[in-house]
Amino acid sequence: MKKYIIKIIIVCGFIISHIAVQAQFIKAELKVSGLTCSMCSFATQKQLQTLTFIDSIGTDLNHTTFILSFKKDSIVDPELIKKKVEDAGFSVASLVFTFHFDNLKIENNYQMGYQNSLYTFMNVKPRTLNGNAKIKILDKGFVTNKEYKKYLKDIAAINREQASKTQKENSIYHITIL
Amino acid sequence: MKVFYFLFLFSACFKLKAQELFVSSEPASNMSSKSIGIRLNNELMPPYKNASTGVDNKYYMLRQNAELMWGINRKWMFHLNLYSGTFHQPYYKFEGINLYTKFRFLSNDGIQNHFRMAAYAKVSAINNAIQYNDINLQGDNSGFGGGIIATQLLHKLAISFTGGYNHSINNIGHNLTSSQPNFAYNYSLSTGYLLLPFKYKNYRETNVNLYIELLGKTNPQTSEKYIDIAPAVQFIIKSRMRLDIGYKRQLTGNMIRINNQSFILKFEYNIFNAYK
Repeated sequence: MKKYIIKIIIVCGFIISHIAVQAQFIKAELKVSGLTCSMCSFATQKQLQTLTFIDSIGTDLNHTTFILSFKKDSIVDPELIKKKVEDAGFSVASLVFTFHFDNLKIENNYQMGYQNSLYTFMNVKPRTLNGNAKIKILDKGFVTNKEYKKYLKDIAAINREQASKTQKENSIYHITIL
Repeated sequence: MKVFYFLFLFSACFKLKAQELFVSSEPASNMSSKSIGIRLNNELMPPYKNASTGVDNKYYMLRQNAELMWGINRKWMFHLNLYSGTFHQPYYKFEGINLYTKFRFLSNDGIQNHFRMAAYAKVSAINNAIQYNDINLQGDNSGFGGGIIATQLLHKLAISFTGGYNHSINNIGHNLTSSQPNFAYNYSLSTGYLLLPFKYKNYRETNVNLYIELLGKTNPQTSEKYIDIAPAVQFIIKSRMRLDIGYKRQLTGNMIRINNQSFILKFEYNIFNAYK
């Protein structure tokens, strides 16, 4: 009996820590590298428009940045955003989400389960997030190769530490607060 | 080296943004995945007489080609070309087809720069008489070829190098003679600049780009070669159409070729996400 109770507590704890997060995607700023002409930007926008979770796309052509807003209650998949940019022939230079937080205590290595993904905080000071905050994905393909080299060691260390805890079917991202 | 210096000066003088949608060559970058483009290319050559090579063409000559472009995925694309014109006879006729494929195998993107490399291969079936030594798989010769393209975008300067091999075989209905070369090397150096707009406002705005390209060919078997210079102006309309107006002229060379100059007019229309 005691064993069962412990198991239930562990499972509940896992579900609470990974699913019941008080957070929500508001929008994203997607900076694309390699864009040199309006035809290239237009091709990228057309690729992004095929994503069903994107509601509208605003463009800042001069800074080659796309402002993505999401459909309500849709599941936002950062990996698909990256894939569409690469399908257009370019690369993600940065992907910054505006997230709405509701009293979420964070620290380095804190894992936030949200939708189908796990977001691990890096390079942050322990704090409580309330209201809108900008988070940036630091994984390979979401920043320039040059920038990724800066995070490579930290990400590898986190992955080693958390390898036992995480479920393989989840997408795992490493994020920081801007 | 002089050429690099010239291109650098050109870019420094105009302080323009780099462009790589070259008119007379292909960049290492590919078209968007699952997109389809259609091009209509026109090349017009004025009358030409060359005492040293014996070429004497008394009339304006025209070649037109319809080009269907297909981006299979982010790295791989195909072009199908259909040629027709009056380059090899005094009347207009269908000349044959060419298949071109390009695979981008390296892409190193930074914020304001990128370096990309691609490999290409082409094959053509052409029914023209073989009258000249300029092996050209784009309408004049049947054969096959391949090469490498490297494109560097560095702040305001886009520079692209192409190096390739071309092998000609007998044309449909016309054989190569023993005195004609059956292979050639081609090489080119291209650069392009965004002239307008100074500041992007929306996708409907017309972009104006300027290009200068150097296009060379060498026949080792006959010790013939030439280098052409090809300036062009390009209009990008509504971010999906392209109009190129260009001119090509021989800078130096001794090859037996149709002409030493031509005028180029190209129109392109792109359909992004043409299919799911």
